[in-house]
Amino acid sequence: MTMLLSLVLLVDGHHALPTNFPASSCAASERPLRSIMSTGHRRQRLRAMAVLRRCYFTLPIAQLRLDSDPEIRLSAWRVALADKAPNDPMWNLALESLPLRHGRSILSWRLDSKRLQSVLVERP
Amino acid sequence: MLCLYLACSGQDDIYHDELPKAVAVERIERIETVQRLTSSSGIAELVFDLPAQTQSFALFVEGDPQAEYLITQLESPDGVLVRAEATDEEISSGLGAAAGPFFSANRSVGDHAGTSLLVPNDPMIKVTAGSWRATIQSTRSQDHTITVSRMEQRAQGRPSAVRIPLSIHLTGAEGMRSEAASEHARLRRAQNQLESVFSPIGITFSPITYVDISDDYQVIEDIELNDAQGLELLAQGSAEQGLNVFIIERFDSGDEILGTIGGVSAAIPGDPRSKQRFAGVVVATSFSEDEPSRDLLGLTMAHEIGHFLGLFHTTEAAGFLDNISDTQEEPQRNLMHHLSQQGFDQLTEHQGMVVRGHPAGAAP
Repeated sequence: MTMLLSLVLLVDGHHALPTNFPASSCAASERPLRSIMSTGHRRQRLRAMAVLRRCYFTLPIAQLRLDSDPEIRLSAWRVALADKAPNDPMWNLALESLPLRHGRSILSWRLDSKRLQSVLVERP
Repeated sequence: MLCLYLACSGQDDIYHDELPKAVAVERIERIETVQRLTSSSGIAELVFDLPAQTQSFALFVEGDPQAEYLITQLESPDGVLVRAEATDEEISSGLGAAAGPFFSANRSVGDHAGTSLLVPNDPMIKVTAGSWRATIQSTRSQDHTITVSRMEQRAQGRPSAVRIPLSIHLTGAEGMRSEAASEHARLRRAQNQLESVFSPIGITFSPITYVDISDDYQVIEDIELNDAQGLELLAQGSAEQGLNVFIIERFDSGDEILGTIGGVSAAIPGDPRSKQRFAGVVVATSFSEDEPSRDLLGLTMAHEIGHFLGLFHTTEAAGFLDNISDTQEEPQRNLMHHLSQQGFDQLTEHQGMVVRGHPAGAAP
């Protein structure tokens, strides 16, 4: 079992994040991670979002979809669309609110076979 | 936290008493030898002789694309540099069967479709002329052929300076294209940062060439670069006996949150021959902002090149330290720390000697 020094430190990394964390580490790190989401640099904010998600905390997605940084908006939209069927009108809303180059990630996310499979299993 | 230095008790003969002196060399020979071996029951044995004047060497193993490989043992005329067995404490690290090689005097890590190893990746380790023996373990138990390329660096001593040809491949991310590369502010900033990190340890990148590649590679799906797209990207490399860098927009491996990964090296160490499985590093523009005080593109590029040239993290997120003795001095501003922050741009004398031993280096 590897010991993570602190989940908050992970926001300054640049390699792949672990897929899950001990619940106690999550609880201890939630507040500082949320603070970083408000005040950090882009990479810190994105990694804080990812850690919070992997800790099963909720994110203020509606607010993040309006963020000034399109990279943050893109990830917020992907979270919002994760359980949406390909014909859901929210996909078009996402495409309209993002720059063209970010829209490509939304389009490929829409067609992602693994994601589709999980959506279809959950919502037959 | 596990202390790695001198991990093999009773193996002091494998170390120099003091750091070998770095010398200005006019000539660096790079000798490549290819051997084909049969891996049987998941094991292949490699035996080779190193002549005098060999300062360092790298092994690049190519095998079954579906299998994983790890150099689990390496024995020099002086003793064991990579060992398969792990101590109880090392086993508890969570690294499983890879713990012994990871915590060896000369750290060894596995990879998909092959593996690689730079010797020495601690400059205190002796590279002695004579007979060497390596064991390569595979997850594929059926008999199959693997190819081992050995690249030796021969010189009058450990070089104090080397030159590395650098090809930067542009996918069009952030509007970076070869015809305007010299005027692209962010690209210039990254290149300047790269030069300022590596020039103090005697590494110059020359020539530097810019190569346009398809924008199909702006988004890379496999961060291990082991799917069809990742392998195709690496196959675009054009630097012969040098370093290929690929600048993409982002990694998208299916996670909902994007932009969390700044870059990857195809291996530690990477392969200086172009179009090989481990031939390059990939960095993403979307990871940080195009604003000087927040931009980490150059530092990330430098960090991944550090991996490519044979360096591990000075401190891993899990607390493991590297196998180099002068990297834990305070303040911690080392380029190879697992954290990426402005100002983490230092490399130590010992790290410098490791990277100058990579086979990508030519005489200045």
